[in-house]
Amino acid sequence: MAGNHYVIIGNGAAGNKAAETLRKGDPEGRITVISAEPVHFIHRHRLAGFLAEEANIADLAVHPPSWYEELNLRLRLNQPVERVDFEDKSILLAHRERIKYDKLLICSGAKHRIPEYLSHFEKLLTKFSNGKHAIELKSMMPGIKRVTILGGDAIGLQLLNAFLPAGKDVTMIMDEYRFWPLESDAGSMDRLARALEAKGVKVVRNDHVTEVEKRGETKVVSTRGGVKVESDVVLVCSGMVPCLDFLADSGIDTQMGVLVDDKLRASVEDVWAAGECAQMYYEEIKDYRCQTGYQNAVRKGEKAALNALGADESAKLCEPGKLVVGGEEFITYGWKGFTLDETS
Amino acid sequence: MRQVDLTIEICGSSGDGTLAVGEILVNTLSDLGYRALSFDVYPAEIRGFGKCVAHCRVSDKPVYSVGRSVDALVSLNDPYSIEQLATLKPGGVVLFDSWPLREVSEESCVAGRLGPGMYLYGVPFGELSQRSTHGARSRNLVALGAIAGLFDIDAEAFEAGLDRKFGGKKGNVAQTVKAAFRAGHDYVKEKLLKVDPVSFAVKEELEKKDFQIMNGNQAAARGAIEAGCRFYAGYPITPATKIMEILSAKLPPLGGRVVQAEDEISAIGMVTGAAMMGTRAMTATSGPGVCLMTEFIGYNVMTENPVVIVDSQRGGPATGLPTKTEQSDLLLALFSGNGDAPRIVVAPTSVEECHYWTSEAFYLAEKYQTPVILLMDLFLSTCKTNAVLSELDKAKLSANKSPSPGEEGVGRFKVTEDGVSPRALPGTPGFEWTVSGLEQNELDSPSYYANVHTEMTEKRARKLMTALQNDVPRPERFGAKGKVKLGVMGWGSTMGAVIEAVERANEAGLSAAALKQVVLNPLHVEDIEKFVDDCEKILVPELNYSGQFARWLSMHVNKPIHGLNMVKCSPLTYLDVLEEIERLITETS
Amino acid sequence: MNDIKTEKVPEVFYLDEEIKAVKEKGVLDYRSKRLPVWCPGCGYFGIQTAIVGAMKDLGVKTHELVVVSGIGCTGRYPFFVRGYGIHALHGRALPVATGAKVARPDLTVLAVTGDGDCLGIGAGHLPHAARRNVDITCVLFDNGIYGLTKGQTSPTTPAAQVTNSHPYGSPDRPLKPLMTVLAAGATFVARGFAGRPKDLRVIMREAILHKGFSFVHVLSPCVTFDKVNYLYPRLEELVMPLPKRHDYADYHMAVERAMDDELFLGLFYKTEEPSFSEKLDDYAGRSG
Repeated sequence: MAGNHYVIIGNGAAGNKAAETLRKGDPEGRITVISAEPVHFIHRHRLAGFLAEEANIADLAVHPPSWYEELNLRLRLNQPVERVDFEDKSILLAHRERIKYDKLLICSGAKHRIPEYLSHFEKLLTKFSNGKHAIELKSMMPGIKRVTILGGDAIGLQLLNAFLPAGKDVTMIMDEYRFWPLESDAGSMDRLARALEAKGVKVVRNDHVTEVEKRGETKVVSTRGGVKVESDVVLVCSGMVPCLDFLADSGIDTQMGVLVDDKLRASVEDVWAAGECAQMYYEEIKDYRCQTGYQNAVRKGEKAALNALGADESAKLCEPGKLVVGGEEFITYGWKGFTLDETS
Repeated sequence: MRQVDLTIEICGSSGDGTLAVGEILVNTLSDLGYRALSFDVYPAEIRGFGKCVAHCRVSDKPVYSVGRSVDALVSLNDPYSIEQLATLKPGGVVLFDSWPLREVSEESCVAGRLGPGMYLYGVPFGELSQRSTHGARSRNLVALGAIAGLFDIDAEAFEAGLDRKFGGKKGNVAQTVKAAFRAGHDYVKEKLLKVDPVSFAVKEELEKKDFQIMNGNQAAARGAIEAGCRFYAGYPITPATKIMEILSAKLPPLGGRVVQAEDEISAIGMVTGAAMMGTRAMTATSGPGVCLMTEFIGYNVMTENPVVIVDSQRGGPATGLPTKTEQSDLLLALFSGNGDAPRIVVAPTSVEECHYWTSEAFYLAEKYQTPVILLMDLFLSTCKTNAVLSELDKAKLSANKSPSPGEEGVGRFKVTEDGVSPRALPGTPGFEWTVSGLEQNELDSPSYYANVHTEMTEKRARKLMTALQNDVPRPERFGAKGKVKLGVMGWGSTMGAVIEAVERANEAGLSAAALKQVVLNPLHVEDIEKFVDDCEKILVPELNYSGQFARWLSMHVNKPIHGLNMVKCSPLTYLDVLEEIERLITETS
Repeated sequence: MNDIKTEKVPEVFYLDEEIKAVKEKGVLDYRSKRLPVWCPGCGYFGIQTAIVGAMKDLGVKTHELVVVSGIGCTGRYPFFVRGYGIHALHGRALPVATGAKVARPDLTVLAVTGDGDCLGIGAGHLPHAARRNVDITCVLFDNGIYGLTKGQTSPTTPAAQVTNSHPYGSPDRPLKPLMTVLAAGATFVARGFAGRPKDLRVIMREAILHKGFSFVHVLSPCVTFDKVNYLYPRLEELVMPLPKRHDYADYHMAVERAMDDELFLGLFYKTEEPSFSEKLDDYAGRSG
């Protein structure tokens, strides 16, 4: 009998774990991993480190090419998905190639979020959520003196590990999206702001960006509070949203992410979703929720693959991670945890 | 050590303009000072449907052989390119058309076929061509722009090259092609993020020389013209036809004549007649043509007539593989024909040498009144490189041994010490001679006496020994000096791969040397013996099954020869040779 | 109009008398020191006489004369002529002569060839030499038999004739050489008879003078190996001059006479066209 064709959209933690699990469970099946990224799967938390170091991006890959070869995975890098036709059980890639699947695992992860009020200035904003962004930002690094960070999510905080030791002037403008996805309360936010100021970061508290404009090579950020910050790079670090562009109007149920049950099954037959793109129903909280982070991705990826192979297993909420700044600990849902302290 | 050594392949279907892109790429890189070699692979049905591959190897140092593994593959036709992926390096790059006219299936798209370490970039060749030129025919130039953009090769140099190539055409062709080029270039610069490590960057600046971009056929034609060839007769045959086409255009303004004969026998017959009149004359053909010319080769040996015959070898026997390279005519060139028929056989090893040795062939032929066979092959004939041509010796333009006044009635075949007889050219009063395929005595009369036949046979052999002493360069040694574990002897177009393999073997600490001789008959046997004595083992790589050069050498040297015999329908690469060198040396120790 | 006069000659001619006559006329200048090896009485002596006479008439200088032959009894011809002689390979006189003439248009180039040489092994070259209109004169010594190899069927041996290679009679239809060259576009086509060397000398003179490819078919007896076909007495009966009304400018008429089983002698066809070398010069001049 002809083997199953498993297609995994996404070459991240969830997708790779799913692929590995599928191969274990089905040595003969055809497995295709599709990624919009031009580079191999890299831990997101290592991207900031990449900016600071002399490292080659290829060296940061979690898996060497031989890993894909040994598992006999067909890896398609740099190939964005245009849309999925669930009725036809096929995927149309942006380059007009159509791929048929028997089982589809959506592990497309998440990308930077651009808040509505910033979308007007999107072209002037620098994003940082994948390897491509990292390479672009790294090439800009020598020319950067002043950095403005809008928001202040976990990635933004991590980038400080690259900017501060390099002597860049960093300003953080905090608004309602600040420090997402940290567990936040007024007290913890203030503690965090103070801890950052102690490290030399200018923090604009409780303000709201009204305009970003370009004057020559310089970008000027204006706020409702009347602050004007000039900088070479304006980074938007206002959290992450699931990557679902290619699922628009496809007929699959989505809200923030792809809605899946506790078995990670989507609303369409033979389709599962896992990782940051999935919005799963948790029996514990009796609600759908998007979870971020490596642990979440690996666990859900594995479960989704097992279920695609015929198992019937439920997944659970993952533990939050920890962020340490100036000796103070903060809870984060997205990461296993990291510290800003070692950099100073 | 080379700073840059990259191989790029452009793969498409006939009609995609694949080979044109390869040509412009090589021309431009040459303008920038790189040394490049391009070799096109195309089907026998040249104008029909079929796969075309422009293979370009680029380096900062001269390149004489193709690359075995490819650094970058540009696909103008995905189904064909899928086959071509087999030679892509594990870390290689693929550029493909991300906007095909209609949806394509997994089977016919190259995107899903890459190894996990390879890099893929989609560029909408077709769409960009439409937008920039209002037509889809410039996909190839968009791809060229994409190459320039992705590998950061000076776009202005490309545009200058496009101006040169298309500037003379009617309308705004040059503008159109440049627009397509720009579209591809800018798309890559703006939309793609380069993540692969393929780079043309060099630390030491490249030395720009007076490069002449040409293939072996062009080089041979040029050598012939410069050597004073003023008569050519030929019959079209792949891969030698281009020589006739070039000479057809270039000779008449110089007062020369080109005749397209009805067959190869007629071609060599005409060349024979013209050469007898004192005109430097040549024909070019391939193995099947040489077969037809065989009787005339013997005739020209017998009549001591200076003809130059180019044999651009292709796969055989019989009609064989007209569009695939091979080196399987050596024994044909050396021994074809009945009787004892010594002739000079020359096998140039590079495009530059096709130029030099074609001209030298005329000199040798005229001076020693003998046929000279130049063994090229499809690879040499069609591979384009930026050659640095050598200045030819004007003194060699005239080499005929004319009889002195007072020698009237000397006859055509006077027995001399050096074996070369005085030769009056028709039109000279008092020296009328008659030559024949029959054995003749010194008075030109047919003769069946044993002493005459012995004397004349010896004379015909002797003059080649005179040539050996006076005009045949000694073999050249490459690689490690003194005693070595392995000596490699190559010939013709594979010599470049041999020398490169030996250099790399030396770099890797392996004790190997190479010996090169361009003139394969007569041979400097003493030098070869000396080299063989220096080597524990002898390797002869060649593109034929029967080990023809090895057999020829083994008639002269007393040591077993290891053959690396490949009939792989493609040029030998240095890696093929290097692997065999490693194997043989490891076996020794 | 046919302007070549035909002349009655004795039924038998004697070599000594011919040589004596030749000597007096100075045509011996065109003879080499070697004596022909043809059989006594061979028609080729007559052809030789005619050619040499024509050379003398035209004042061709021996060092500017190139005679090319193939293999066969005719092949030996260059050895008996003073001039630059090329005894080429079997069947290949025309290519060699073409090369010689194209390379050196200043020389007079003659290709002498036999029926086996020209119409058998070398037949592939004949139409091309004709259509190229190279300025050479091709003389076909046609004795209807292979003489040098001792009596085998040639391409002009009549059907059913018994030869050494066809003891039961040749099954092959003989070729009509004039039709071959007329079909290929030869610009000068004539026929002569070895037994009438004086007429042939006139034809040869015209042929050599003609700018372009001239073809002279000469009927010639093989006195040794042919006892039935091209015998002097038989040929004397068969040959006849082209009718007075024959117009050599009329191609169709020439073809008709060439098809005819009657063995007409004289100039069948002649037209003026640029020769191969003239065309090459012209085209090259045009191409700049």
